[in-house]
Amino acid sequence: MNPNVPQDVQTTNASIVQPASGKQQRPASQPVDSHSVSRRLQSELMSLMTCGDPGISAFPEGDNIFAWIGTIKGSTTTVYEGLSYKLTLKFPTDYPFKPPTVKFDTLCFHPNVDQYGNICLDILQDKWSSAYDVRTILLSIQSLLGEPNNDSPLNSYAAALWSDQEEYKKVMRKQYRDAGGALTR
Amino acid sequence: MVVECVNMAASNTVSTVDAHAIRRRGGGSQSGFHAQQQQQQQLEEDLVRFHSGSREQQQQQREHTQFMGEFVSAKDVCRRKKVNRTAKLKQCKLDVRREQWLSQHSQGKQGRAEPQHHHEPGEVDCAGQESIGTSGESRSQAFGSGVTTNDHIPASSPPKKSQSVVNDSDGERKHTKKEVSRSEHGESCPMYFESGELHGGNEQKQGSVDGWCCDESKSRSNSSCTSSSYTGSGSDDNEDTHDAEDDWEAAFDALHVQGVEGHHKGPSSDRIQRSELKDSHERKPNGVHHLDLQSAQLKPEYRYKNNGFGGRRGNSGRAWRPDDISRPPVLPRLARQHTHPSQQNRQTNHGWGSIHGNNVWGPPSSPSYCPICTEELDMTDSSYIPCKCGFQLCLFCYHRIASDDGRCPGCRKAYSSEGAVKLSHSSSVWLHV
Repeated sequence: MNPNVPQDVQTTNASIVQPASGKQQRPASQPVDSHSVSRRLQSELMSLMTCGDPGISAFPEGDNIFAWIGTIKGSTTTVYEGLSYKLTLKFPTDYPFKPPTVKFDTLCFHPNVDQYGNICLDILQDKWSSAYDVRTILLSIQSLLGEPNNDSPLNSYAAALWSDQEEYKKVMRKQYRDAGGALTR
Repeated sequence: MVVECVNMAASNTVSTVDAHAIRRRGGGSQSGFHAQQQQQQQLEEDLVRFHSGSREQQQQQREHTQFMGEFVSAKDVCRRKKVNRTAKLKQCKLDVRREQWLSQHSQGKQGRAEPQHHHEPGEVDCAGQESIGTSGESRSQAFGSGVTTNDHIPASSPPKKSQSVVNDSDGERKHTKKEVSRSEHGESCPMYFESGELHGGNEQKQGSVDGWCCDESKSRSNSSCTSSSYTGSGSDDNEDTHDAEDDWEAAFDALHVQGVEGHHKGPSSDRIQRSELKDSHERKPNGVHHLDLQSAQLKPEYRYKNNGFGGRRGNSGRAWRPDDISRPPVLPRLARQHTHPSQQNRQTNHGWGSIHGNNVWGPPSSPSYCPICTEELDMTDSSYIPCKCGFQLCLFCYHRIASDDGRCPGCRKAYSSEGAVKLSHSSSVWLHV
């Protein structure tokens, strides 16, 4: 009986200590932040739904407002015209001071998108500014589709192929169909 | 009707006395007083027309005016000698008593002519409305050339102060001489009191008829009581009131102190008398109709006053608002200070600032919400622009960013202390405006 008690205490202590130690890495004002983050995300959602930008849309995935699913349609003057791509946006708890993690859900053949959907976009990394929001992110990615940065490619094949737009378009569309995307025109 | 006339006579003489008072206060000479008198002339003539039925009223009025003339000249002889403490104390007492009396009086006479209502401190709206509603002449008085306005406003400006004070001093003087029977003299004070009591009685009679006064019936019955008790208390003060002039001087001192407040009442009190006259043109002895006219003209203040605030003039009257047309320019621009913590006043402040040509709120396009955390920007936040690019954000977010990566969200340049702009629209600036 007696040995059990210290054990219980130990386990509870351990369970208590762990979140506490985890908390030490985060700022103490995290609960307040998460509230303000959800506030900000809600206001972003409102503005996104009311502004009606063509070709982009986003909505929280389920009840979690920290995870969104966005949709980007290729601009009309680009090889991506008529294609629609799904993205996932995951917002950190210190958003907007830190950028969200944005990934292509639909396989995207693009010099700056790797096979896992990761996007190499400066504003999602070091050029992130807390003044950006979901709308500007999606618009930036939309414009990235038509204007890739071939100097720092994640997909070197696509980067090399970019100069030949006809070939590029053919390969890109084939990949798109193979990935299960539907041509929407 | 007689009662009304008496009332009007009383109030008119009172405003005449006010002319005296102000003249003297401004160091004006007798000629200035005459100019003032001319302004009052028309009003008095109008008044006289209505007094055609009661000749003795005119007589009383003249007596009183004469008396006041002597009073003022005597005043000029003995220049304001000293501002002694007892006078101040006395003035305090007088103020309190006047407030009492005014409240009971105005409540008592609500259904009837009600000059007291118009002397409320905050009759901002009243003034504006009346100036529109009354004849072009009075409008020109209100909005006309500076001279006219300046002359006009002080003429009747402190009606509540000097009127009551004069009444008090008169009354006390009479009391010291002998127990005054009110009918004996045409003094404004005793007459006023009597009329007040008469009104009180009247109101009680017609209180049930008068829809307006239903909620006031209780206070009205009180008022008649107080009016009689007040006259009694006036005689109680006989002992300590040896010299009416002391009170007079004290009144002037108080006027100086409260001069700003007194200035407000100027335009309206005169005009109200006019409106009263106009009303009596209708020849409606019945209080109800009269009241309707009155209340139609004085709606805002009137209602405000009736709403539970009773007759407490000091507190019930609204202050001048910055956008009031007839707001005296002598008033300091302090509203800014009062409103600065509250966000919802920002809009009105904008309006005010633009009215006065110095919108110190910064660019009107400045966001009212922090673009980062979507919290509302408060005064301090909106006055601080941390970056040259002009990107504004709340101080909380600014500190967070500055301590984190230190780059402005708007331009991505590093925050620098020299780039920060602290807009200097602190409240102290408004004091200089």
